[in-house]
Order: sequence, then structure tokens, then C-alpha cells
Amino acid sequence: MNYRSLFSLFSSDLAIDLGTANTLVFARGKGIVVNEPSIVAINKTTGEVEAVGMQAKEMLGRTPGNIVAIRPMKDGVIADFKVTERMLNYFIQKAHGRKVLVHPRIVIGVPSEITQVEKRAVIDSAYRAKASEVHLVEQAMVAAIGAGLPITEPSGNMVVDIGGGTTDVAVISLSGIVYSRSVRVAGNEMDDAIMQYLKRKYNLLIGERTAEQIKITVGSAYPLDRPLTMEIKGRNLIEGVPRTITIDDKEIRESLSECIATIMNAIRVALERTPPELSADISDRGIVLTGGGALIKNLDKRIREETGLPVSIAEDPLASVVLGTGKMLTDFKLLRRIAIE
Amino acid sequence: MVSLGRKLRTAREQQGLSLADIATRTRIRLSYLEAIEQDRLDQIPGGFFSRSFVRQYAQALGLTSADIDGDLEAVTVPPVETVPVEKVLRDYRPTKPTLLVEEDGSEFFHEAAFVKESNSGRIWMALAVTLIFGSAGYLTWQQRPDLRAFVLGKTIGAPPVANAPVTPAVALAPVAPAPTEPVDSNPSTPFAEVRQEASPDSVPPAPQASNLKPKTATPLASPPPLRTENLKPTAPATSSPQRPASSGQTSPIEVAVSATEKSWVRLLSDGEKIFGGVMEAGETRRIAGSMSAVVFTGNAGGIVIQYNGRPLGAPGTRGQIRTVVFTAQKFEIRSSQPPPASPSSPGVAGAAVREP
Repeated sequence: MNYRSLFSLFSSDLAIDLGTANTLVFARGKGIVVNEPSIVAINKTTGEVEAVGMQAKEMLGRTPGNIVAIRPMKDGVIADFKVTERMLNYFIQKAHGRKVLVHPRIVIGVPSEITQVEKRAVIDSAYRAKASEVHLVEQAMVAAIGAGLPITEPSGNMVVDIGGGTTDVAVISLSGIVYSRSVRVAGNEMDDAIMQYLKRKYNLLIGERTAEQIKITVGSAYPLDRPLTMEIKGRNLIEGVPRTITIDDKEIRESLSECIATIMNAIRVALERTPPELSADISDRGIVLTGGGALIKNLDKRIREETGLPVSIAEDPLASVVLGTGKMLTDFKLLRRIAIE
Repeated sequence: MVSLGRKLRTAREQQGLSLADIATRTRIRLSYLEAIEQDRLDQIPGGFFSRSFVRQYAQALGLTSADIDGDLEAVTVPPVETVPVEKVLRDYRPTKPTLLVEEDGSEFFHEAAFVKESNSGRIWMALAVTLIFGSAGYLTWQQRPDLRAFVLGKTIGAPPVANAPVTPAVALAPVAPAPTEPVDSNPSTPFAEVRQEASPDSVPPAPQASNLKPKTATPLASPPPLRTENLKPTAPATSSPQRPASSGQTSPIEVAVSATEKSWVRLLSDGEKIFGGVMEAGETRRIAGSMSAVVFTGNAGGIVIQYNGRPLGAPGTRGQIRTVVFTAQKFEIRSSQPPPASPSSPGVAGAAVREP
């Protein structure tokens, strides 16, 4: 027993969804206490953290030369070790509301296909952010738990968790993963696709924030009943001045088609690899969508059309992972069963 | 009130759709849709799926979730899962209006949406840890006289010096120059080592005791030697038996206690405990004091006392509990007053007496 585990008595255990786009923190007995973008603004000259989370997102793309707004996570894994550590530190302190004696036990959800190095990076960052114990769980698994799927039963459940950096597809039965696959195409990739598309078609440069806004407002995966339009502002590449254009959902659907196709492909492969008994269960119950990507309009319809299976969206897709991870805090037996070694 | 299944069915029939149409739209199995219409939600797998399927059915009919949510809450069978998982599910209640505030993420979830969990387990753990550390600290304090002497020596100050010149150990420590041999509170000095070598059993408790009791007292004057005891390491607190009588100092009170049978005895010299325990038949112990000496015994008939060379005989009959107080002039026998320092001793005494 080291001194950290002693201090952990005074800190509430935390479940963290360390996502590429958003980081959510669930404190035991309190619920979700932090839900902020995974962005850190750093002053380059002093090396100090200027802002984290919401405030830093405001700064994204609007910073003067000496301040950079960094997304320390890329494709679901840590890209910038030091910045991630500082971000975690900030969120952990925020979750506790104090700075001293904070040494919580932490459960973190990670994408299913991360390398040992990436795993190590997550664990080390958490320890350096003063965690007393760190447990890793697979995001797809905890997303299923968070959505309320009966994963402990001996029947197949298929979960598709579309996050910011990765899309995790998993078939779960008896609290174990039968098949899982993660592709590094998800929310951020879609934002990029929208930016590229507008640049190519309208010679209009837009920022990440605007691209995300477009995706949320008019992004869709299947023709909508009522067409949507949106006015967007950006810089015209040729004239070099700000311009406003109007786009509709069809154009955005076109821009997103490649990303959606990748996700569809991952789902199809997962279905192919599923053992037949579980396939039967999945044909009854269908596929469950979680994560922010599940909110893309008509994505469920598209998957339903292409796979011929019923598709459900989790009741609270953005919080599924953190809620599932949070449940691990109160159910250590289950945690031991599903934690990654 | 119209049941959820009936409501959905009416809506479907109004639109002129068959169940098969809905099944094609939602890809949900026909039997499940029938079960929904007949309000047999237990036929659908899992709590999540029944809710989700009802929602999808309603959506396919163009109903908004507001139309069915109330009914859904009422009908949904609680999902069969492990208890703790359920508990968290209950604790977390996303509220629809706050869910929609996408732009301003800070208001996305309200803490009020969560039920606070009792924190008492944590508090108990903290208490337990405090208790463990508290007792550990106390024990260390109790068992490390050197530490204690170090701390108290700083606060109380001088008393040890008063004892220094009369310490009889000087005689045995030829390396140690006599005047500079204080009963100091620092046992790590070479003097202390030498002294311990010379008389391993007598000295270590002395600095501690004299520090704690500010009243000055000649700690261990030298009674006549008693060779038989020197060899016994089991008599740790015996009053300096190996010291030669020729050390030049005689105490006004010298008491020898010899056991004729197994007896519990406690010997005090100037208020300081010299020995406490069971003496075997034939064993003899001597104490010396400048002001007073006290002999407690649980078997007054089992011991014989010599006072300044004068045999006094047994202080009482067999099995009697007696206290004999010696001063320089006289001695006094008191019956069965328990030793003040250890309340448990009468019990021990009784046990010792009954044993033989």
C-alpha cells in the first residue's frame, strides 16, 4: 500500500472518457461532473497552460501567435503526452473541486485497437496526473454498458460507438468481447471531410469549429424527409475575403459519404466475423449506436437499409461511454472481468 | 387511460398501415411488434431493447417521443441486470431540455440530475486509518523510550543531571571518566555502550524513568552482589546485582526478598519498579532505596524478607496479599493494597498463589 492509495480514500473514484473530441468525467456518487472538449491552450513563450476545455475551444483557431490551442488526443489515442497529462490533471482537479489530497482511482475507456505504447501512454498520463490506480476498459464494451444493454447475458449484442477519433464496432456476449474492431474514422474525420469538400467546391476555407457545427446541423447519412440548409461563413481562397454561402444537406451528405462508407464497411466486416449463434441474436436485437456520431441524422436509417437489421440509438449517446465507465466504479467485479490487462 | 400498445395500434390503423409495413420500415421482427401492441414488453429481449423498439415503432408512425415517453416509463419492465449497475442508471437522469443545449456545452448536464450517494463508507475508512495510525504512533511512543526521552528531555530539561554523579555504573566502566558520566538521554554515545556491556540489565530503563519523574532519586545503589542472578538474562529489571558492594555507597534501606515457594512479587525502590513477576522457590532478590522500598506480594506466606540484614520472616500467611513499606527507620505491613501503578496485579497475584 503506497501513500497514493492512502490518499485515494479522500478522493472520489473517477471514470474518464478520454475522447478525441470531448472528455467526460464521472465521479462516483456525483455523476458526470466534467464534460468539456479535449483541447488545451498553451502559451508557447512561457510554456504555461492558458486554458483547458471549453475556454480553450473558444480559442481554437483564434489564438495570437504565442498561444496554441492543441488537441492532445488524435484518433482516440494520446498524441501529445505532456499536454494530455496537464489536461487530465485539470479535469481531475475540477471534478474534485480542490487541489490537495487528490489521488483518485481512475477507470479510463480506450479504443479497442490501441497499441501497447498507446496504452502505456494513457496509463502513465493518468498516474502522472496523480491517480492512485488506473484501469483501462474497452470503449465499445463500456459504451454497451452505458447504453444499458444486457451484456451479462449469454446473447449477442452489437455496439457501434462512433466517437471523435475512432469508431469502435464490437460484438459482446457474457461480459466479454467476441469480436471488436476499431477504425480511425469518426467525428473529426468527418469535420475534415467537410472542410476539404467546401474548399474544393466553393474555394471556401472554414475552421474546425465551423465544420463541426455544419456536421451537427445538417450532416446526414441518408436522404432526409425535409431538406435542410445552412448559411456558413468562411474565407474565400481566391478573393481572400470573408464570404457567406448557403449549403444544403445533400452536399454535406456527399462530403461525408466516404467516412460513412468506411463505418459501414467496418460494421459489415463485424457482422461477417460474428459466430452464427450470435448472429441470430443480433438479427433479433439489431445494432446499437452510441457516441456523438450516432446523432448524425438518419445514420440509423442508412445502417438499417444496408444491413437489414433493426438499429437502435442509445438514449444518451454522447454520455454512453462515460456512464458505462462510471458503472465500473461501483461494480468492481465486473471491472475485473472486462479490464484490459 | 389507453395503454401504450393500444395507442400505437390505433395510430397505425389510422394511417392504414399493416404491421408488416412497420416491420419492413424498422426491420424489427413482426413478433416483437405484435408483442408491443399487446403490451407484452417482457417478450422483447432486455430493458434497453424494449424501450428502443417501442420508440422506433412510434417513430415509424410519425409520433414524437413526447407522445409515448410517459407511457414508456410506466410500462417498461426494469431490465434484469446486476444491482450496482442499476443503481447508477437510477442515479443518472438526463433531462430532455438540457440535452438539447448543444451550443453551450457547459449546461449540457446538470449535476442536479444525479442523486447523491451516501459517502459514509469512505468516512469509516478514513476513521479506521486514523485509528490505526494513531495507535501505531502511541505504541511507538510507548516502546521507544529513547525517542520519548529525547522529546521530553528537551521540554523538561535538567533532571537527569541530578542523578549523574551517583550512578554506580561508573565503578564498572573504567574507560569512562567518572565525572563526565551523566545518565544522559542519548543512548548512542560510547558511554552508553560501555555501560550496557558492563551491566546489560540494569541501566537502560534508568534515563527514561528518571526523566519522567522529576523528583530526584538515587536510582540504583549497590546492594551486596548476588552471583546466582547475574547469569539470568530473564531478570531484566533486577537491581544491579552484579555491582560489587565495595562501590562505597550504602543505602539506608536494603531489603532482600527470598521466596520459599512460588510467589508473585512486585518490588519498588523509591517509587520505581525494580521487579514485578513470579519468583520461584529459592530465588532471592534485593532492592535498595534511599527513602523508601516497597514489597507487594500476592503470597505473603511464601516469601521471607530481610531488612537491613535483619530477618523479618514472612509478612503474612500463605495466600495473603500484603504490602510492606520500608523506610530508613521502620517498616510497615499493610494488607492487600493493590499497587497503584498496575491495577491488574491483584488478579495476577491471585493466579500465582493458587497455582502451586
